[in-house]
Amino acid sequence: MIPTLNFLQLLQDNNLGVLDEDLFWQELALGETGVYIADIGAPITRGSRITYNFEMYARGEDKVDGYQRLQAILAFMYQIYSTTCTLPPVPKYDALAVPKATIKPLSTITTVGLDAEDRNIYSISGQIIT
Amino acid sequence: MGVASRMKQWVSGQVVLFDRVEEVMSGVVLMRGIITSPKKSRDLSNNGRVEMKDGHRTVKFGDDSVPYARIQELGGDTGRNYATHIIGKHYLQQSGDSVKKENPKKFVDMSL
Repeated sequence: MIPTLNFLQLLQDNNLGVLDEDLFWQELALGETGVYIADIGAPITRGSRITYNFEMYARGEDKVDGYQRLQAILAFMYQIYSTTCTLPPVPKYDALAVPKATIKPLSTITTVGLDAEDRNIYSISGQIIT
Repeated sequence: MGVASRMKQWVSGQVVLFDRVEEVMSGVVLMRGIITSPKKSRDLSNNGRVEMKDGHRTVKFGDDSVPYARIQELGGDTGRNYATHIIGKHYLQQSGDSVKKENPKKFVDMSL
C-alpha cells in the first residue's frame, strides 16, 4: 500500500494520464513532460487515521499545457473530495488497494518557476487520509 | 483548590508542531529544487538533500562530487581562461521564493 502511487493509478483509471508515461511517482529528476507526485514529510498518525502529504508538479510542452494538466487533476480532486473512495491497486508494482481514503486538495495551482529548459513548472498540494 | 497550569505541555506541543512545519517546508523546497534543477546527467538533481544544522533544516545541493551546483545556481565564468560563461538558473532560489510566497497556513495544515 503506497497511497500516492495508488492515487496515480486512480488518475490513470479516470483518463488523466498514464503511469510511467506522463504520470510519474517520486521521479522528479527525470526531466520528462508530465505530472510528478512526491511525498512531503513523514506520514502523520492521528488515532486510527494516517495522513500522507503530497505535492504534484506539472512540466508541460508549453506554459499552458502543464497548467491544464494540473487544472484537470485539481477539478477531479474537488469532485471526489466529499466522498470516501477506494484507491485502486497498482498491478504493475504489486501495490494493494487503499480502502476508505479521502483525497483533500490543499492549494490552488502555484507557479514554482522555470526549469533549466525554460519550461514552466506548476504545483498543487494535497493530502491522502486513510 | 488550585488550577494546574498546562503551559509546559502546550509549549512542548507547539515545538513539535513547528518542527513538523519546518520539515514539510524544507521538503517542499527540496522537491521544487529537484524538479527545476538542470538535468543533463541528473547528478545535480539527485544530490539535493535536507541537512540538520544547529537544530534547523537546510536544503542543500552540491558537494565534492557535484562541485558545479553553485555555478549552476548563481552563474559565472569557468573553464580554461574563464572562457565559458554559465547563466545562473537560480533553481534553489526560485524554489525557496515559491514556498515563501504561499500562505503559511497550508504548511501548518500539512503538519497537523
